[in-house]
Order: sequence, then structure tokens, then C-alpha cells
Amino acid sequence: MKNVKILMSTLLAFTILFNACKKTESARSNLNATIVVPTSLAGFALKSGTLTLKEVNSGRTSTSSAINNGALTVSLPAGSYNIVFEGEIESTTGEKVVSKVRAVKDNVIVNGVEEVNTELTLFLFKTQEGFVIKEVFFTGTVTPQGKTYNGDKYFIIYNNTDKVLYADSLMIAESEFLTTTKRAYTPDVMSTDFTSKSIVMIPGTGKTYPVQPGASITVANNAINHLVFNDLSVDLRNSNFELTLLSSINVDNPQVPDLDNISGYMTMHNRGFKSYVIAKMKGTKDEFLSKQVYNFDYVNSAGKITTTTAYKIPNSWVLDAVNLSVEKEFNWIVTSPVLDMGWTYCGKVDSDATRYGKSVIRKVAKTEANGRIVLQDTNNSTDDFTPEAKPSLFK
Amino acid sequence: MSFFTTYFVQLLSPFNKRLLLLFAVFIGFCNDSNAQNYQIKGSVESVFGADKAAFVNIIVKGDRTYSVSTNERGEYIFRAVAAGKYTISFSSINFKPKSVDVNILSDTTVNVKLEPLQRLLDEVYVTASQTKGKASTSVIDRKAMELLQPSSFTDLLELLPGGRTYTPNLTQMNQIRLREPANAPSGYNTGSLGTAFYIDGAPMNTTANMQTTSGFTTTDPNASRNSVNRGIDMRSIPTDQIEKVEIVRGIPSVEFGDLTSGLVSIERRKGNTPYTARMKADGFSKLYSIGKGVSILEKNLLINSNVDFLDSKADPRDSYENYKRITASVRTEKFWENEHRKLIWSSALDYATNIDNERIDPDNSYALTDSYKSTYKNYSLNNALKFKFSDKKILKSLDFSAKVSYQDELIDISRWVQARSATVLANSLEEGAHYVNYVTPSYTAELDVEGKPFYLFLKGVSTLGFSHGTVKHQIRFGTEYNFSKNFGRGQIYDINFPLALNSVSSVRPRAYNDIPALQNLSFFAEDGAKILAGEHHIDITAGVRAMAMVGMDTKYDIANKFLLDPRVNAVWYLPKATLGGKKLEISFGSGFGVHHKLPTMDMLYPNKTYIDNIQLNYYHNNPDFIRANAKTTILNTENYALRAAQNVKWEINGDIDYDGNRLSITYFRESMASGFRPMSRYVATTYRLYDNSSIDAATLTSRPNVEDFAFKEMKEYYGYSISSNGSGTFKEGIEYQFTTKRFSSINTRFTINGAWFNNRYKSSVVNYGIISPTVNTDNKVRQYIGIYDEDEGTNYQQFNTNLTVDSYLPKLGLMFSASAQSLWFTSRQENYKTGVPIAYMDINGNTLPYTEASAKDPNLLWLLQNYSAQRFNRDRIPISLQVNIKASKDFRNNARISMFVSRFLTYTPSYTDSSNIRFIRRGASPYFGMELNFNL
Repeated sequence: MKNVKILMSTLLAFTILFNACKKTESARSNLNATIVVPTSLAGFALKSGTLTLKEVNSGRTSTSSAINNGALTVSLPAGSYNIVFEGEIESTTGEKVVSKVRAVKDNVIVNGVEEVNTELTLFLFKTQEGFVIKEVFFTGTVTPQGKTYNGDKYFIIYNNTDKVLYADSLMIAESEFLTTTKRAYTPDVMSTDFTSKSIVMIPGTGKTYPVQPGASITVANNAINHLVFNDLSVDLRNSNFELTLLSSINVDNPQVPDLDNISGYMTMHNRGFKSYVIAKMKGTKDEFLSKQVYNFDYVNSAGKITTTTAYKIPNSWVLDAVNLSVEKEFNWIVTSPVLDMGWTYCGKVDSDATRYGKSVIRKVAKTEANGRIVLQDTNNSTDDFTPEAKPSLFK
Repeated sequence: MSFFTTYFVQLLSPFNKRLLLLFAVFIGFCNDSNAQNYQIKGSVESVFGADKAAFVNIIVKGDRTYSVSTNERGEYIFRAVAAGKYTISFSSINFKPKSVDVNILSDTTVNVKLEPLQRLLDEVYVTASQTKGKASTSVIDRKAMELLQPSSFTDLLELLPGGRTYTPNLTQMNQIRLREPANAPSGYNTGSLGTAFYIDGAPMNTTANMQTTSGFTTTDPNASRNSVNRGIDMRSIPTDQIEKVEIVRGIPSVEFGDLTSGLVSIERRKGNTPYTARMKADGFSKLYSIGKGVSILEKNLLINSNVDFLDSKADPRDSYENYKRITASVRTEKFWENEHRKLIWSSALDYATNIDNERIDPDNSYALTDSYKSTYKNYSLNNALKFKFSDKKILKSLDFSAKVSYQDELIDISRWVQARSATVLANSLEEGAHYVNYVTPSYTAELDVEGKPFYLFLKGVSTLGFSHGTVKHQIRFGTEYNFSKNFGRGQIYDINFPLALNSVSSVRPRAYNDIPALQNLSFFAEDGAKILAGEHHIDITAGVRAMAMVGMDTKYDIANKFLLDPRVNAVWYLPKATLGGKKLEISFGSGFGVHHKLPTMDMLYPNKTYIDNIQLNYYHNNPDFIRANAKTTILNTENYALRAAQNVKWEINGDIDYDGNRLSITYFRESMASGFRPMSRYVATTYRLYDNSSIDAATLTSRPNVEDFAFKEMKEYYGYSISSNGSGTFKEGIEYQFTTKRFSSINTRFTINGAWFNNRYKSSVVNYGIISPTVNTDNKVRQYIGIYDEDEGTNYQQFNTNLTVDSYLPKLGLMFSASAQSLWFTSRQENYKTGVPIAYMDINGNTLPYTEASAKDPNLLWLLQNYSAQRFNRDRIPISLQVNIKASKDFRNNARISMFVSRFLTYTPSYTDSSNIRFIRRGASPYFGMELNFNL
């Protein structure tokens, strides 16, 4: 009798215990993603591909490759999903041509009750051969006394081809928008243009500044020996170019040619909230300033509409782009996903004190037989860059 | 002490008598004793302590009869009473009568305590009471302060109509803003500058206050404490010695000048008080105060002294940002009188130290060098002589007062400065082009700002009184002189190691003692007429004040010119009536006044602006060849056209008193279009921009000179600011207060007060604007100035009601109040602006109209201020209600414990703002504190 009681109570205890441990599965529902081949890609059909769904809050990812009639269906727990499709398309007529394609969609809500339908429009993904952004050192440094120092920021642009390229008329532009503040800008031109107010350009007549295959050019904020001012900085006297900053913070090394300021000053956002592109100027500077004016408005944080003016650089001019943000504050990427669908970083929170003296550096894809290094450029900065790297020019 | 003597009188015996004499000798009160006559003195107070029994009739009856009444502090003295047995009887309309039998054989002290009647309890206000017959004047007395438990004068303002309980912020400058809504914009400082503070009849002058570090540092730690051109910093005024404060929001008498917005008149305690000690603690501060008053009736002398100390922190967890205040004073009053005249001499010696401190927590930073400390020391001596003449004469009184005050002020900032790159150091004190060096990469910069303002105040007033038919006149003539000078050395630092780097437009040190003294002379005449017209009764006070800055350089328009302030207040009392057997009193009042505030020393003699254009910045890789050159342009920012700020007020009010329940409503308008504000001006500076590429850097053999370079002539606009009369403040509103009588059954009074304010704040002059220097126009920057003439201005409104319920239970020694403060709404709406300039200036100074074609010009389009229509929507913040409680309990007459909880309950509903996009959730946290008081 006593044993029965013990047995019963043990059973009871286990029942309670196991019930308590049972995971409460959140409700699931189906998501149907229809892959749309745009008219610009007429004559092509979807061949294969993988859908990656990342739940924003938990970071949990699901994948699916089961394409059924141009659509994929995935059963997902309730959440907010960022969706990426990577695949290939094949020409339906003539010679078989296979091209890589991508599609991106952010913030698709799955509520666990109803089925969700969404469309993803493909864009052609080709690794453009040419100049790439090899490194952006945007954080500046700190001194041994803990004070910030910022004349030592720089860009490195790399010739990722096997041909000599000319850097003449190459623009570096900083995004007007912040990756940490998502807003609905009207009109929205992000799918066709990059919005900027800080634009600098390498001068030259077209053949003035040749860059050898596998060689790079350094564009310094101030091309001086910063070690004189800060032991923890770098000597930038050997930079190829120098920026002209606001007169109060500008220093000019006469032995380093200056970039031409197209608009504003390149004061690189040192918390890394802005993105950068390199683009080739088409036409003259004056034509650019009159034709590429972009007036837009948005609802500001006080709930009011702000109207403002910047310039737009057509995506077709852009050679390479890198989005920067910090994990805690990231809201969106401020380029078309065609240019860059990811982002890289120095620092994980806003004003992260550990970010100083760190830079983002593009990864190496391979080394050719002749020793030329080919950098990785999949138009996804999350994959292509090493975040929080030691700046390459630092000893 | 007096307690003991009384005790001895009651237990009179030869032994005790001798002891008493000894005691009297010991304390030095012994008089040359007349053979038969002795003196009787003492004080009369309420059995419940603090209430002084003033004007109590005392009759000493025995073989002979003497009579006298107590003074306003409840003290009395019979100077010569023949020895014998007497009955002393005390009688008053406020107290139950009382008699004491005494046998006078020597000088005797008789202190008594009387039991108050309900009538007296009715007179106890723990809220601000509205003065009858004086429009828009609130009086706050000790009783109210005991319950309020203030840390500084700032805390008293919650009692005014439109006021609210806020958590004290003692690590910032506390500015007074009378008749302004809670959401009033910052930057409008003429109102607080134009609110005059008087302590015991002498003004607190701030004209020569120049303690600023603005422009000398990059992030200015002094900014939030800066009181230059902002008037009195109220946190520096302790409340412990305040007997009574009168706050005139309306139109003050012409006796008070150099003000625009209001008058605060503080009267400090006088006469006998026990040792009082107060200790207050709340979340942010601790306050200790002790005081003692002695009344030597034989010598007609009163002596009061006090010390108080406040220690407060910005955040209780952070001891690195704090504020300390120490004040001490000794005050005396002595009078001489005979049957024709009375002469009263009062004197006060004051000392105060205020210290603001801010350091970076060493645990959070490497920057152990970074610190900020601001010290204000104040010494002042105030003397006043008052001659009072007998009622029969036309000349009633003559008043003379003089105050000398000196402040020793020092701001000390240390900071580790790091050049953020190779930075040209332009620090020339002379105009023109010159070679310059680069900044030392890093160094400790020290900045001291030394100010030593000295003020002298002299005033003389004569008062005449006579009757003319049914009109009773009181005429006052007076003159006042104020002298202000700053003997400080100003900003002191090594110009090669400045705190701020990298700015084109900057300031350089200058000594304050080079600035001439300011002298302000004024005269006034005022007639206070009381007219009896049958049952009606009209009081009219009308006067005019003339004020001028004298002995000033005539290049200033304001110099030596008299400004006239006519002011009139009238009250019409309807005949006294009864309604349902209860007394009904109705009066109507109206007032009109012009008020002027003269500019301060900082406005009249501002520091110069230095524009340093870097002409050559040749940072060669070889350090020996590095060369820099800059051109300095010095701008005199003195505005000789600066006028006094003028505020014109008018108001009407009605006052109904029915059986002790009183309603008072005031409607007012104030218009001040010429308030002070810094206005931006632009100047085109020219300089040469040397082309670094014009010489071959690679083949240099020696350090280059500017002559070696090709150059471009540059011309750019730079901004600076001058003081001007461009700030407009236009006020309109209704203030109301309803006070019930104290219901005798529960000893409770209800007070409802509040205000509706409808104020407009604007820049009342044409504005200039420059295109952002990050925008290139014609391949250059700073080329165009836009001229905007819009009907600027922003309307701010507030409507609030405070209901205060207070119970005064003297038998239990308990005071309790609960106040429900409802801010029904605040709102803000900006006037519509097009954002289109009316004209623009090109770099050559030509002013051209801004046309439709200009708006399309690729350069001029940047002058358009893009305003969205939504910007001009009305933003309305809905109700915010808070309930505060305060309580105070006396223990055995010599200890009192008080506590308060602010925001005990709150109701702040969430709302969606005018954009319909933002959803705003509000919160509030309670704030509490307590204090202990001892009366020994």
C-alpha cells in the first residue's frame, strides 16, 4: 500500500515535471513567396535557388529550396522575417545562358494565424569587375589619454581586375540617410539612385591616375604624419590623395594631391551610421549639380514633415557600395540591395567606445597565379567585409 | 533665557531675586536702577507657538495704571513701573483675554501665551494670499513656507497662479518666469532679467555679472549655470530667514524701477526668535540652517543672525556634479523715539558662497584633468535710516538707504585638449595677416574667468500725507542711484593653449575692469489718493519714474536720456453690504504701467568677435618647411543703438469677498516688443587663399614664405552676433484665485487657483540667414545671405487649476495639505512662414530682391527654408494631473517634523500628437523629502 502511494506520487511528480518542461510552440503559419521575374529579365526563367528567412528578433533562420511553380512555401513560427532569395535564371530561348539572381524583402510579418503571401522580384546579380572599396577607416582613433582624434580616417580603393584602371572622375559619396533611422522618404528613389550630400571626386583628365591590377589608392582625411599628434595613430604621408575638409579642420599636405569637393565635405560619420559608394562621374560637375538635385521630404522624429535637398547618384554609376551600421541601432540598408544587400560595422552599440582604431576591410577571395589578390565582392557587405579589423595601414 | 526669568518671578524669594540680579548683570541687561521704578517686559505669543501676538493691549493695574500694546513681533515693554502689586491683563480681538498677577520688586519679564480665537486661525494661509487692494500681488509668509519645505526661493513660485510643483533642479541656473506657461521657450530672458528682487528694501543688482565661458570652450560646462543677462539665480536665495515675500506680477509702484516684468520683495525676520535649526533632506539635497534673533527691548535693539548650508547633487548617484550654498547674515535694527519723531536704523551684513562643481567620474574616463568649478562669493552691507514724524505734520517720513555689495566670482575650467589633427592656431590679438603656428598636439588647458562686480545703491524717499476734502493723499518723492562696475580680470588663460580649437569665429580674453562703470539715476513721484465718495471708496495710486544711464559715452543712443515710466493702479470698493446676514465686499481694480529695463554691462560692452581666415596651410612632410598664415579680422560688436527694453502692461481685476470666502480674477495684457536678444549679423571678410600646388613641394630647399605662392582672393560671409532689442514677448492671460474661509469644524481651507496664459514669443526684427557652409555655391562657400521678414512668432498657451486643501489643527500641532494640480493643457503653435527670403545679399554687399527666378537658381535655391505645412500645426499636450501632499507636525512646541511627497498620484494619459504619427506615453515619478525643525 505504501509502495503504491510512493509510485503514485512519483508518477504525479513526473507528470507535473514533464508538463512543466513542455515547450509552448508558438503558432505557425505558411508563408508563400512568389518569385517574380521582372520584365527587364524577359526571356529568362527561374532555374534554381534558395530562400533564406531570418526572424529579426530571435535571429533564427529557415531555408527552403523547394521551388514549386515559381513559388516557395515555408511553414514558420510567428515573427517578423527578412527574406533573401539567391538563385539562378536560365534563358528560355537561344543559347543557354545562366545568370545569378537575387531578391530581397524585409519585415514580412507572419502572425501564426493566416497564410502570408509575398512577392520577391528578382534582380540580376553580377560581380562587377572594377574598383572596389577595400577598406573604410571611419572611426578615427583615441589618444593614450582617451580623447578622440579624427584626422587619420581614410578610404582604400582597390583595382580588383587584371587590367589597368583609371581613377580619374571616381567619386566617393557618403549616404545622406542613416542606416539607424528608417524613414519613408518621398519621393523614394532608392531603387534607382544613391542619395548623398557629401561627395568628393578624384580629379584628372581621364588618364591622369592609372591604377595597376591589384594596386590600391589611399584617400586620407589629412595626409600627414599623425603619430606626431597621437601615438596611437598612423603616418598617412604616403597616401595617394587627401580630402579637403571644412577650413577649420583642414590640413593640406602639398605633396599629396587633393580631391575635388563636389558637394559638402567628407566628414566621415565616426559612429558608422552612414554608407559609402564609389561611382564614376558621368558628365561635368556643373551638370551633376544642376541635374541631379533631389528634393525630398520625410516625417521627422517630432512627427513633422521635413523637406530637404540633396543629390542623387544613379545606381548605374555606382561601382561598389558598403553599408555601415551598428547592431543595436540597425534599421535598414540605405542602398538598393542590388548594390549591397548587407552591412558591416565597427562597434555594436551607438557611440561604442571600443570602435576607435578599428576599420572594415574587404575579405580576400583568392590569389591568382601571378600573385594578384582578388577581393571578395558578392554585393553583400555582411559576407564580404571583416568588421572591426585592425586598420591595414596601422603598424 | 526669558523662560527662566519668568520662572523666577513666579517663585519669587530673596535668594532667587539675588540670583536673578546676578543673571541680569551677567547678560548685561542691568539698567541704572531708579529707586522705585522698575521695568516690565516680555513677549506675547499664541499657545500654539509660532503665531506672534501683535497689537495686544496690555494694562498694568495696581496703585497706578499703565498701558501699552505689543509691537508687530508680540513684544512689549513698560519702562518705568513703580514697585507694587499689579494685575497685568492682556486683551486682543484675536485672543482670549488673560490676566496675570505680579509683584514688582525689580525689573521683571512676563511672557505669556494666549489662546487664539477662530478669527486668527482664519488668517493662517499656507498658500499664497492675494493682497487686497493691490492687484496681482501674492504674499507668501512663514506659515506657508513651513509647510512648503523649500530648498530655495524657486520652490515658492509654485504657489503663484499658474504655478506647479516641480522637482528642484539645483545644479542649473533657476530663472524666474512670471506669467509664463510651463512650456515657454528658452532664450527669452528679458522677463527674468526684468524681474527685480529686493531684500529688505535693497535691490539685488546683476548688471555687472559677466561670468561666462561661452565661446571659450567647445562644450561649455558653464552654459546651464550661466546667469549673465538672465537676472537673479533664484537657487542662491535661501528661504529660512524670510518672514514674508511679496511678488508683484502686475504693475509695481514707481518706487521700483529698472524692471519690466515683476517685482519680488523679500522681508527677512526681525526680532526675538529662539534658536531655530532646520534640517531638510530629499533625493537630491541636504539643507541645514540655524538662526537666532534677540530683541533687547531696553535698548530698542533687535539683532538677528543666521547661517545656512545647502549641499545638492544633480543625481544622488553622482557626487561629481554638485552645488553648494552657504549663506550667513547679521541684521540689526535700532530705533530712537520721542513724541515728535522716531528714527529707525536697520543694518544688514550678508555673506554668501555658491559653488558649482562638475567633474568627470574618474572611473569612466581617462580625463582626470577635466573639471569645472564656479564660485560666487557675495559680501554686502545694507543700511537704512527711516525718520517717522508725528501724524500732525505733512511730512510723514524720510527714508534713506544705502547698500554696498561686492562679489568675488571665479570660474575655473581645466581640460585636457587634444588636437584632432594638425590644427592651425590662430590667436592674434591684432588685425591683419600673420604667420601662425600649429597647435601643440595635446595639453592641459586652464581657463579662469574672474569677475568682481561692485554695486552701490543709494536711495532717498520722502513721504507726505495730507487730506484735501474727502481725498486723503499720500505723496512720495524719491531718487535712486545705482553704480555698477566689474573689477575682475575677465577670462584668463594662455592664448597659446586655448580650450577651444578649430573655430573660424571666436573670442579672445579681455579684462572686465577695462569696461567703464554703469550709473543709473532715477527720480520718482507718486500720489496714493484715497477718495471717499459717499459709500464708495476709491484708491488711486499714480506715479511716474524717470530713469537714465548717466555719465555714459554719448556714442550710445541710450546715454544720459531719461526714460519715463508712468504707472497707475486704481481700486474701486463698492459700498459694504450684507447678504443673508453675511458681509459682502466687492471691488474692481485696473492698472496701467510702462516699465523699462536698462541693458546690462555685457550687452553694452560685449566682447569682440575675431574671424581668423586661414590663408596658407602648408603642412609639408619635412617639418622644417611647414608654414601657415592667417588673417584676423576683429569685429566690434557694440550696438550703439541698443535701447532699454520696454514692457507695457494693463490689467483689470475683480474681487469678491463673501463671508470670508474670496474670489479674485485678473485679466492682463503685457506687450514687450523690445526685449533683449543676440541678433545675427554677417560681414564679408576678404583674405588670400594661397595655392599649395603653385610651388613644387618636392624641390623645396627652405621654408616657403607667402610671397612664393600664387593666391586667390577670397571673400566670404561670416556671422557674429550683437545685442539688440529684437525679442518680443506678448502676454495675455487670466489669473484667478478662490479661497474659502477656514471651516471651523474641520479647520480646513480650500484654495483654487490657476491661470490661463496665452503668450506669443517672437523675433521682432528682420532675420538674416546664411547658406549652410557645407554647400558649395559658385564653387565657393558663404557667398549669399538671405533676408527674411516673416511674421515670426510662436504662440504658447497653458491653462491650469490647482486645488489645495489645507488643514491647520493647532491643538494637535498639525498642518496638512493636499494639492491636486491639473495642467489641463499646454499648446504651442508657430506662425505660418513661407521660408522664402524677401531679398538676398551677394558677396559684394548688393541687396537684391529674391524672385521666383532666384528660387530656381542652383545657388540661390539654398536660401529657401523648406517648411512643411505641418510645422505650423498646433501641438496640444492634454491634461497632466498630479497630487502632492505635505504635512507638518509640532512636538511640544520646540520640535517640528515635516514631510512632503510630490506627485503622490498622477494622471498623464498618453496621446497622439498633431502629426497623428507619434504616440506619446508620459510618466512621472514621485519625489519626496522631509525636514526636522528645532526651536530651542
